[in-house]
Amino acid sequence: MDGNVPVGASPRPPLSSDRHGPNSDRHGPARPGHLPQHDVASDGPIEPRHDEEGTTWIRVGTLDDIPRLGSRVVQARAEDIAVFRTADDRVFAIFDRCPHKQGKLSQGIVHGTSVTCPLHNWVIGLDDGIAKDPDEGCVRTVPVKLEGRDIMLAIVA
Amino acid sequence: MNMIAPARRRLVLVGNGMAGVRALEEILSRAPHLFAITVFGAEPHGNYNRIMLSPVLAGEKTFQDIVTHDRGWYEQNGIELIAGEAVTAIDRDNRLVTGANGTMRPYDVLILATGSNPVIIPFPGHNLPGVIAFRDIADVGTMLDASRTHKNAVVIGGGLLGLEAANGLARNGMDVTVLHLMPTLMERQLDPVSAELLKQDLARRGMMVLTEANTKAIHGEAKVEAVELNDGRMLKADLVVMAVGIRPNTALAKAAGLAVGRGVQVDDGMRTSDPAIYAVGECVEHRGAVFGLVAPLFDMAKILADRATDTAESEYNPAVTGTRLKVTGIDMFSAGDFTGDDTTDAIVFRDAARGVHKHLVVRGDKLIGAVLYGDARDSAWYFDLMRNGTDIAALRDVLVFGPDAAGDGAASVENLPDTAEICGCNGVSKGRILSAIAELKLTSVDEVRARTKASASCGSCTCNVEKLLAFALGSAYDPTPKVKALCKCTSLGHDVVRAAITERNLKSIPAVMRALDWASPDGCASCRPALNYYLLCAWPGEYVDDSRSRFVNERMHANIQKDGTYSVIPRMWGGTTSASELRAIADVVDKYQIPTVKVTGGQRIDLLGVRKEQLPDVWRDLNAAGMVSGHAYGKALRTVKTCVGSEWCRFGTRDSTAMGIALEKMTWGSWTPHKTKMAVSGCPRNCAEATIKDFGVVATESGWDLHVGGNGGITVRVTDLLAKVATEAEVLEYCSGFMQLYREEARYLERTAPWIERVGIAYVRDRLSDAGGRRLLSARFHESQRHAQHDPWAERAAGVESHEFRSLAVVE
Repeated sequence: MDGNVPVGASPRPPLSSDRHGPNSDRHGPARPGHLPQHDVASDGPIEPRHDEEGTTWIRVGTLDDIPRLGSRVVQARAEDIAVFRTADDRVFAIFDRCPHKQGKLSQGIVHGTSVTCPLHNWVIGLDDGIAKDPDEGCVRTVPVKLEGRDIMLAIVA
Repeated sequence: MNMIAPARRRLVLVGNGMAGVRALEEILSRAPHLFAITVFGAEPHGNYNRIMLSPVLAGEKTFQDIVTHDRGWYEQNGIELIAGEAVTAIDRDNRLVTGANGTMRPYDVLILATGSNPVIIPFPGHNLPGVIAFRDIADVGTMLDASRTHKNAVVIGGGLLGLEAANGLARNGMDVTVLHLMPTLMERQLDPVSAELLKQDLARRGMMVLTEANTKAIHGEAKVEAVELNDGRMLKADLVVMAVGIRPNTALAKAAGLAVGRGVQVDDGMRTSDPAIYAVGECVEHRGAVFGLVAPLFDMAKILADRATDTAESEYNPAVTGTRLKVTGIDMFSAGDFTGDDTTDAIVFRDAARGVHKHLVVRGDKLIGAVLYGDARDSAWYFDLMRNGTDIAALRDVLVFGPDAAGDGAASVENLPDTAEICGCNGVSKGRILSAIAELKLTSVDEVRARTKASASCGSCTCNVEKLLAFALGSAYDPTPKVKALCKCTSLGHDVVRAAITERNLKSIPAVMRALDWASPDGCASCRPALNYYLLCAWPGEYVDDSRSRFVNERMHANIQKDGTYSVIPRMWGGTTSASELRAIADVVDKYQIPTVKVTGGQRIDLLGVRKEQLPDVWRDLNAAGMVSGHAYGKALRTVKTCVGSEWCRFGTRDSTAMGIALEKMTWGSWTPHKTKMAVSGCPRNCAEATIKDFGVVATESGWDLHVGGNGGITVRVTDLLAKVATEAEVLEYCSGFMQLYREEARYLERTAPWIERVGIAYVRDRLSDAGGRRLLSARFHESQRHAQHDPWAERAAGVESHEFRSLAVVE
């Protein structure tokens, strides 16, 4: 395997209960820092970085690449990941696949920390990946954090 | 074993009205497979509730609302319906009926339910155009047409029917005078005091009543112009409605040689003088009496069914009948002998300020008659006391104050047996309502109405349905009619939010949410698209569309498919295309390897399976060949479907294709509360199916018929006629006016069909028949279009919102 680490391929990324989740104590919700904005093309080269616990963080773009209450897709080898930006500039990442009929959640309407699937209006929590009542189901979350305005996506090594 | 099923007996019903169809229902409930049934009806419809023609005239209900049996009902029950063909002859020797178009059907059992005809008094001039009766839905149509173009109406007859006609015409803006021969109105139902109260109430509602008014003649040249009274007075009249009574329709029975008096004579088993022939309803004479109310007709239907199916030897015994009526919203009830004589006492209650008058007639210890005016809530209780001959001695001092004061709990609907009929119009029992509430978890009168039809017709049992809801749900029942909240982020309904946007000058989604105390910081997937639309409609050219509040299709300008790919449908004006366009489409299909090409129901070509990132390139190529977005993905003007019209078709009367193109060029790009579809047909054969479109145009020899509110979806709804116009300019003006009215007043995600059902076609006609108002609506539409007619594909092919079509990153 070369320097590029597959995202979403084996090993599977952690579930929401994992301490690397976006709201875990370790990272807290991903909020913008105060670093100057990086001027990197959104589909530029990806340089993975490893932290001390072996999690691989990949810079996938900057906050400004995603409109507020919007989403962009990171194409991974196995499956697409939808990265969301809330009204208050928090960032979440979940697999782009509604647990109901595999609708592309990246195409849904974002409100609060939820997204409504465009196919049949299931509402999925961005922080935990869990479908809201009365629907039942769960989509995998992907750890994500902001470094300055850079969006870093985590892959467990 | 004999495998041949015995041939079913043949039953023919002549007359597709309330009594006859009720008799069929009673027969089917006793013996569903006994008969092979054929129904002849003179009117070209299924069965509708004739009692409810008045609310249709008054614009409170639509024709669809009062249909009790649509064609599906006949199909489901295996009944052959021959609608629009009256029966003209009965051959009793050969047991064969023949219709006006020559259709023949043999019978083993024949039911006559020919109803009644309105009495037309042969005054001089009674056959002038513009002199009509008030009898069927066609009469209602005539009255509505007259009210759109004319001012003065005279109604002859101050009975129930006449007053309902007068009320409906007044509600449609006509100046109405009621002529009544007798000294007091509705003298067969009301005592003189109530009648005087009614006269005053009608005057307050703008209807003039002339009692003891003797009509001498009706005047006019080509059509009715005036009504002359015996005392020499002349009343201007563009429309005369004669509502002086009904007469059993016995012509067919008489010609067949059956015994006929005032009506078709029947015995206690509803048999005519020919044992193979029954009669039921208003055409019947039973023991010398004829009938005009619903309850006895429905009783007759039960007896007839018992006899025809050999279920029971039951006999018809006319019971005391009561009438609960509503004229112009005034509640009235009348039953039994309310005039009394020197052996009776009158108990009278009067509250002039509330306009309430109650008049009870008592003989000995029995209640024998009652008139309630202005408050008829307790009518069922009084009626029961009368019918059961209850001893009222102990109640006498509080009788006039009703069952609550009398402490009569037995009167309450809660204590009725499950078999008790709550809704007489639709024959819904208490048990059926309660089980529907329990099984379907119903919580409102509207839901009960939708599921069981109880209170769906005349509505007089609504209070009992409410009581049953309260009984079934206990404190969980909330009787206040709920305004449906726009979504869970607010308690406010669509209309209130919309009014606030314009009145309080709110110009962005956050501003609306702040001003109206939204419960969530950025709303939800229900309210955001609605607010975005309302703002776009309210502030054309000023409000900046919020793409984050658009459903995916409207944000991507293509239709998302179940696999996440998109479909692309270029506009084809009026359904026309050309070799170069088709060539360009073929090139696009090849170049982008588009897997499926499909012709749509709206006469367009659909390219299915386009990947998101391909969209801008596909659009660029289509743009280069002159094609633009077809908006097939939006709550927007979709397509204008056309037939080939007079250019090619040997039947075409006008150029429907050119008209369709003109309409589409005018309306493309407009955002609407829900998708909007149009069609133009070049002749009444209507090959473009214009009468199931939101706006449909049908060419005729004399001009264009404009239809609105059609829908071909889950619930098929045929359009209502909006207007008949002569010129193309008028078609465009009406269309743009209609579109704008729909844009401004329908709720988000409400198609034109439910919108019109909600507000009534009379309202829409009113708004658009007024030339000044129509032009203002049209002008606002064109102003909005100035800002809306930009091809979203061209913008995106040029780089707008490019982030929508590209991935943020690719990780391998």
